Amino acid sequence: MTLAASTVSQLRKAIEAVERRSPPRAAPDVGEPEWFLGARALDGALPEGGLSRRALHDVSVASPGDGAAATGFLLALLARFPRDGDVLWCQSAMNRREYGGLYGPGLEGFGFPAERLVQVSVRSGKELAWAMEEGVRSASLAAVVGEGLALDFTATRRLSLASTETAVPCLILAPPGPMAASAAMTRWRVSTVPQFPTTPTPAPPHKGEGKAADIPLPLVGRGRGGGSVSKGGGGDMTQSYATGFERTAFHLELLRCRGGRPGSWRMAWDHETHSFHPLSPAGDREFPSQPALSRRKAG
Amino acid sequence: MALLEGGAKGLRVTALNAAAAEKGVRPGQALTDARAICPGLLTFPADPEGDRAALLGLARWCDRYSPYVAPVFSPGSGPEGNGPEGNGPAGIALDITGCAHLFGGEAGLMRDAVRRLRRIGFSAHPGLADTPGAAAAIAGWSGARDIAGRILPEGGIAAGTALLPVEALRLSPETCLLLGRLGLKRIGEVAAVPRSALARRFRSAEIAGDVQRRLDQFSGAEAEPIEPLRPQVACRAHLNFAEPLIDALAIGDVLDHLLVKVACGLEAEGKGARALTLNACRTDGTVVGLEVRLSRPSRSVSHIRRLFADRLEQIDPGYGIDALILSVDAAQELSYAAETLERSLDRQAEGVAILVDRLMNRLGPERIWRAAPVESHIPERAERFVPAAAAVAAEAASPRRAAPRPFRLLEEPEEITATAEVPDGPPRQFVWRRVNRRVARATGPERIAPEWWRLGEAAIERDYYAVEDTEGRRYWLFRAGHYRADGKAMPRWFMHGLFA
Repeated sequence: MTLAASTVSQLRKAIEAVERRSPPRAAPDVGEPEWFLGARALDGALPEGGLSRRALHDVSVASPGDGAAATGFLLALLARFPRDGDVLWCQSAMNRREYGGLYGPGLEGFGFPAERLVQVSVRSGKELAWAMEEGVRSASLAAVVGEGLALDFTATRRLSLASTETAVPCLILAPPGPMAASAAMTRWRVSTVPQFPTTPTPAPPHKGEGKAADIPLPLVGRGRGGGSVSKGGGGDMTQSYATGFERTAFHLELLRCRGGRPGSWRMAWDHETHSFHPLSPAGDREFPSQPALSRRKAG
Repeated sequence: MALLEGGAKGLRVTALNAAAAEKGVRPGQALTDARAICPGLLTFPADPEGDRAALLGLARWCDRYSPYVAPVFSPGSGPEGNGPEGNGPAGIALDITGCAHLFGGEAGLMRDAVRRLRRIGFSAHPGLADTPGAAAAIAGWSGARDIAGRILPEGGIAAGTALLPVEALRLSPETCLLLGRLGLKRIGEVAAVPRSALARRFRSAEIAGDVQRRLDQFSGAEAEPIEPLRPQVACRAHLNFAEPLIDALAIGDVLDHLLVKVACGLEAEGKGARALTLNACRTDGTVVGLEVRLSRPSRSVSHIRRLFADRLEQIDPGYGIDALILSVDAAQELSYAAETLERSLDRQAEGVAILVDRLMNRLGPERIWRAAPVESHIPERAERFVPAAAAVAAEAASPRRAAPRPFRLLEEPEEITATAEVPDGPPRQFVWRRVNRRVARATGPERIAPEWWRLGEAAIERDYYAVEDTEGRRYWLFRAGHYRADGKAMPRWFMHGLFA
């Protein structure tokens, strides 16, 4: 049985309409800037072509060791956030002892100025929920982040409603462990990706090959003429400062997204340009389109 | 019944009740003598600390009558006599200037106080006069039974107290004894002696001066300010209830009323409150207080009201609350112009300040902060925590750091076991929190020298490495000290921060 294309598109529209209507949404301010993540793959999967500012977003870790990566992703999201203003960061005292507190000089590298941060130490999930809701309802913050304690469904629902009203987005960095029910609009899971060193500036094309052989390189660097992605210096353990550490690679999974398409991506965050770039499946750092094209021509 | 205190000469009676006094027991008697006079004497150990605390509590309770309340201690043997070193609680002094009409005049106030105190189990001996000294004398030594007899009219000190014994002058017992030997037994007699003649009668000028000073304080020739228990408040409002309140809802309603009064007072003075206290006087004579602090001066009723509202449930009404007092403990200039201008300029900053106040008052001021950069190379000193209310100036010229910094810094560096390939190289692998991690790549070292001017000889320089393990996790660790050629002192490795 086949359906006419028009029927399908009609159904799609109907579904979209239902999905868009479901959260009671206040009319967005005129000129409210969008919260784009800057990578087509990510933004395309989200319902409004970007993250919603009037919603709760939940970031969790794949394993307990990925806490730093999840923090990094969250900081990247905040750095992409188009509005100035203070960010309220609530962390449980326990979590702070375990994983450390936010450190200003390091935050700057992620594009998030430390002086915009107001930090709160909480002791219980109840306090966390209260502090976050106060933050969201005060409407004078850019965003509210809660970290380290599990919130129950009611708390997340309240936060999400408050966020819908005031347009202060709410982000949760969930503690490691089984995922609790949540009213979050999007749920992300972040894990660390092994990261291979790259040269800060790409070598000119057709320079020759061979240099790339000293580290396990993905396919791209091996083809004829593919030497355009030279990986010189990769085997050297002690490089000059800040090589390789100016990018962060994540494995991002969008587990749930109302009105969007869940998916999974490997992305690199560039500390200089404050943008996400896709990593090729094999772990390469370059844009895959250019070398792939040249290889096809050469072949 | 009597209270006892151990001393150099055995147990002695320090205080007694009326029944014991009738039988002839006197304070200062040895216990054995007292027992001989009154075999059925019930005795309890005295608790001077407890007495003092009780007096302070009662003084706070008296806050309902006047903002100027001070506990008074009986004269000790010290030269000052009425310091806390004195023998014990003697009474409470209230300056009721301008307060009496609220309670139906001076007599009405005294009657109210005596009645309320009696209800909670205290027998009170009030006295009212132009000077604290004379009032204390009346309170302690006047035999008048009725309230009216205990009030000296304005300018009536000399006439009203002439017949009181010299002990009422608050002199030390030795001085009183001396005056008695001189034949001066009543205040009127002492006051009648010319000053120069009085000075000549005493051996030391010190005692003479003391007597003279007390006399002057008594008559008002020398001012004797009451040092109030609470510092002078900028603004204050209170409400007494005919029937005690027992539920928090009603307290909230009264608070609204008081807040409006206080806000009007503040506005008239062009000030904003920085700290407020709400004291609830309970019917049993105890007081519970609730303090609220603000990060920037404000007289917004709704804002302060919300700060209190979060914590009103902390007030335990007990058997009921019969008075609420709201006082501004600290205030700062806040002109009307500044208020409106500020509001229009940075509504956002004000919103954050209001939020910070709420969090601070609920969670405690130490649990909310901002980090301000500090010019120091030592990583843990490169930041300092400041109260969240203070806006942190953006770093004017942020030093561009050549080496990476972690965005999570552990509170204390954690020691790890690490193996390095070469003595001065980064670790090849390390164990942190019992997990073995192999290093895939590393940058460094970045040498951070200790601040020798702070730590002296004990300081060890650190070599920091940013490393990435085979799973892609990034760490910031350092080696304290160096490997030495003789292999004796091994450097220690520490984990200090996390990256992504």
